[in-house]
Amino acid sequence: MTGPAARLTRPLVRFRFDGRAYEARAGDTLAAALLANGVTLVARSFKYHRPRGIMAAGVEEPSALVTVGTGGRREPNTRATDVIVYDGLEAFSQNAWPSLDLDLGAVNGWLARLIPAGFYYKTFFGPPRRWMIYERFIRKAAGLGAPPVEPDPDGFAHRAAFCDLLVVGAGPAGLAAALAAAEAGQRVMLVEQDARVGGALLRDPVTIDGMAGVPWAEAAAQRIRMAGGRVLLRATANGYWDGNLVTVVERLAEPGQAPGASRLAQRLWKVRCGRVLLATGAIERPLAFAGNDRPGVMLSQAVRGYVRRFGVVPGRRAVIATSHDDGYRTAFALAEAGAEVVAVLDGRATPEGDLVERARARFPVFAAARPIATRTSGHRLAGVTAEVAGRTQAFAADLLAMAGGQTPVVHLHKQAGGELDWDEVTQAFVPGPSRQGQRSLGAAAGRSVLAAILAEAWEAGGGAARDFAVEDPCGPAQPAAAAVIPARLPGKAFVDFQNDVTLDDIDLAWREGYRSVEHLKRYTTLGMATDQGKTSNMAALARLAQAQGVAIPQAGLTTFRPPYTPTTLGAFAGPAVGDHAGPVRRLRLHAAHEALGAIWLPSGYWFRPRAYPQPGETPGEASLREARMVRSRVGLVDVSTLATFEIAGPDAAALLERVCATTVGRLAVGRGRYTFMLREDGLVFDDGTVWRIAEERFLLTSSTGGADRMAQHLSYVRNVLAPDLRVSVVNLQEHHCAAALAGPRATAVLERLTGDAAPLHMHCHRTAIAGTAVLVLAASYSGERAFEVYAPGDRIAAVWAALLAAAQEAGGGAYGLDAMDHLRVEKGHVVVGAEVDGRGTPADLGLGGMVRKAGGFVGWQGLQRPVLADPAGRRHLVGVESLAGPLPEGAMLVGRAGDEPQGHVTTAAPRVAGEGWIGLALLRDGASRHGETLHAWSATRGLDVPVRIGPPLFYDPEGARYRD
Amino acid sequence: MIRKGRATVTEVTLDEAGPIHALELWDAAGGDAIAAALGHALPAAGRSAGIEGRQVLRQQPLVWLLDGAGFDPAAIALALGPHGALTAIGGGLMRARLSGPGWRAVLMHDGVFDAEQAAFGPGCTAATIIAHVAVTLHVIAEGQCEVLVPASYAEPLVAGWRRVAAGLA
Repeated sequence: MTGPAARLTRPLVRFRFDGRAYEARAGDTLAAALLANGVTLVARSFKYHRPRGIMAAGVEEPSALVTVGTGGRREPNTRATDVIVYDGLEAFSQNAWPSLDLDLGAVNGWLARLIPAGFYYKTFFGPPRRWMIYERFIRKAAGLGAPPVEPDPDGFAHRAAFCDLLVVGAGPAGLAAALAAAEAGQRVMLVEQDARVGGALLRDPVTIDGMAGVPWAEAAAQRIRMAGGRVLLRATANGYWDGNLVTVVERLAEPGQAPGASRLAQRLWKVRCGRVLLATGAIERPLAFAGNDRPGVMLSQAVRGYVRRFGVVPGRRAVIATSHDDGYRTAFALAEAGAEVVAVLDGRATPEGDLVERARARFPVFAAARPIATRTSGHRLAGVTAEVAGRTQAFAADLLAMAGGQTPVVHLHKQAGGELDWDEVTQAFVPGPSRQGQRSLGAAAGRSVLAAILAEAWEAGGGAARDFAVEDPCGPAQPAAAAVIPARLPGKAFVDFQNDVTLDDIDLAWREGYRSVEHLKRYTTLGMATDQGKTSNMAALARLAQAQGVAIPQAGLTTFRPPYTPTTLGAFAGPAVGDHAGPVRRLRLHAAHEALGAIWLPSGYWFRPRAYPQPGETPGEASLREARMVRSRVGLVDVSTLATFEIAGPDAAALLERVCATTVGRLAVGRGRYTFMLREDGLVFDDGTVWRIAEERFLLTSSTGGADRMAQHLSYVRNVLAPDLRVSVVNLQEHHCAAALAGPRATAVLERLTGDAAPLHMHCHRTAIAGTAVLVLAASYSGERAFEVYAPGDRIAAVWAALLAAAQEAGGGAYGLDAMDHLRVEKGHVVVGAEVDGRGTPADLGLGGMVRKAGGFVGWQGLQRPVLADPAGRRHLVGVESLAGPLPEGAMLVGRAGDEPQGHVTTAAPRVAGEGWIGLALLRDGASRHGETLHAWSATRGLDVPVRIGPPLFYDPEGARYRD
Repeated sequence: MIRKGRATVTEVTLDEAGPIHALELWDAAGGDAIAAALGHALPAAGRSAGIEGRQVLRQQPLVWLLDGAGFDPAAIALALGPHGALTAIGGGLMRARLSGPGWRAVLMHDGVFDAEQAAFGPGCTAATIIAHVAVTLHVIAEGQCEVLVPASYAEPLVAGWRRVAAGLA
């Protein structure tokens, strides 16, 4: 508890608002600091640009939205009530031009009759071309603040946490529950969105067990920590998901503030909980009357909070408008702080009780009274007009505190699948049956008597039943009866302050036929602003219920969706930004490639050498030179990223026969074979090679890009389809690294290095290079005699260095992915992701003759379906030869530009052996269309190249180059 | 090395993992045979067994990792006979060592495993995912945890841990 005098004992902090310098006190929110400096005009409203001030003191604030920070740290639409002022804070008003005080956009208010609810739907219709015009205006008008253009310089982290009990909210209920649980030995986590613990204790001078409320709260938090509990401040539980998973966003720096040594601005906690206690409090409801949005019209409890917590008195002459006893507490708080309470307008016909009587002794109290209008002077509240027992009465006042009832914060309860009950006394939804491990406490559960709240929370935390001695100078709190919304109101009575939705808008929507609350919401934009209707939804529901002639619960309720409060995108992204947007995989030979001047190509999560350009060479020139080097001499390429699996055991062959669509089980030891794999629907999803490296041990290789999918498929076959097989499947993609040596001089290079005879094509053997045991597989992807040399990753560097030196001595060198692609296109070898796109059968890809006729493999049954078995009308793999210049990869194959596409070019490459451009394509009925001329047409690139269709093989059709 | 005041919060080092083999068993007899060859029973789920240089970690229900140069793979394979398979995998792994009181908090970042639970102490193992990467945790001592990491992911993963550790200081 501070008060105006104690405020001065807190250190000074300096900040700026709209360029003007101000002083605050440490611990102030921006809203408190602005009020302390007499700044009441803070913002302009979204639609009508009406002058707005500060209405609330917490995250429910609908009006005082500002931009905080500069550069990449600029954060728009920040609630001034949810920013703790720090030295150097810079805040700016938004949605105003040329200035906050004189905003030309306010003309919208005069044109209000022309832009009623739903005007958007009534105005912007017609043919699509009109939208090209509308869009400019709509985009200009949309939103409030502007997002930052620069990247956020700060870090965001994601962190897991586990606990027996998560308590959301560190008010008295949350503290009591968390304390009981922590001292009972449970793993406890307590999260509080505010910078201080205490909740309502920060505004009401109660004592608990003889201790003042705030010290009691701070001591409780300390005891929780001492007992091993984790207490997070500035941490908002913004989502409650399945399995008692709650996400919590912890602010480590205030909006716009440079973070500390950790360089983290926020941390997203993913908390998996045994139980969750929701002590999230309640939100006060505003009243509906003309001009209820003026600066100086505030929520009653917020006023009390500014006075008692921050020592800031928001007005000197105050009117209190209330529907229940709680408003009187604010009257006493203001009076204690030296303000004059000019009237208490109590909507009840016969308010009674000790607190009311005490108030009557000090203030003018009016029964059956309610505000009906306000007047301003220079954007500040100057007076309140009230209806008192049927007569109109005016009061000069610069502050109006509204106490229109309480809305329990049930968001997380609902997100967890919980149901709501209706409390007739308070006219509020309260938590009903739960679906997960959540329970609501305190004001969030509709409770109002502090001693009972504490006792219930203590037991909910696991403590033995006990009583709490609570002393409250205003006496025990009473249930907060909700204000009645009058049937007719003159002027603009706002319901949704952030989206400028009035009671008249709701009435209009009703008259225009919008009966469902969901339709009403979307037609009027009610509750669709960044505050998600925290202060507005209940009033709107009440109005809708009035129109329907039903009780509020029958009027329906919209969905409570996460996040509970606006969350920065950075918190969701966490560390996955920039170069770390996905995991990065580095080759074991990364440094060796760097030393050769490699340029890099992202390949899945890998970065692989695209080419090794020489000075003055373009990447295209480099890759063609490298490919020709392989055709004429010898080249070395890093193929470490290939998926490799070792399959061992007496049933290894049987497992492979299930996985592969070709015959592989009868391979002799030391032999290998090309193979491919089908999905269960019969379509090819990957290809590779199988090698029998021992009697009961095979090596399966498959594509780089499909490695994870193949691992998953093998696991599925092994564990689901064939769990009884005695076989082990081990993913060795990381263990094995490999270099492929290819070219007419490859055999000589290998034999000189190993001293052994090179294996025959599709044979393998073990040998040693540079003192390292290696496995050599004689397989060709380039069309030349080639060998894949495998070594464990921690020893590949020496093997690569030896191979490279020997290759260079033989007139060759390293080549990259582009050259490898050029070479394989000439040979018509398919690649996963291009020709193997998950839509082709083996026959479509020219592999039909290799399919094991006996079946017994995954996809066999799918392949028998007529739609796949009949090749007519299917897309077949073909070769395409450009008749005029470079071939555009990805281009459509058409009879002429603009025609319906018949296929597309999957890969294009310059000829390595010869001149011109060639490619592979998938073409409808392509197998029977060799010799036809079509066009490779790319509408987006404006390219149209005539091409000749032919077989997908452009080089060494007999295979003489790679055989022995 | 990250220091808070004068105390080390978390130190993260990265080295080659060295020889590691995956042992898969197909029947109980295989377990008996291996236990006899090792001189101790195979560890239960979530546990390790053995001595320094010869650690056995249970990684999957029927898969154990033989971690260390102290094993004789040929002898293990011989003992295993037709009851399972032994496959070398160490070439694909790096060994990160996190030392200091902050290692548990570091491993909670970008992960889904409860490394902060008190029961996860020395001799405990866990196969889990951190920052999308499959890793194996092995608590060596109260203040030290080893993490076997796929080599290709190791550098960015360890860089991330060092960044997190710096934030704990």
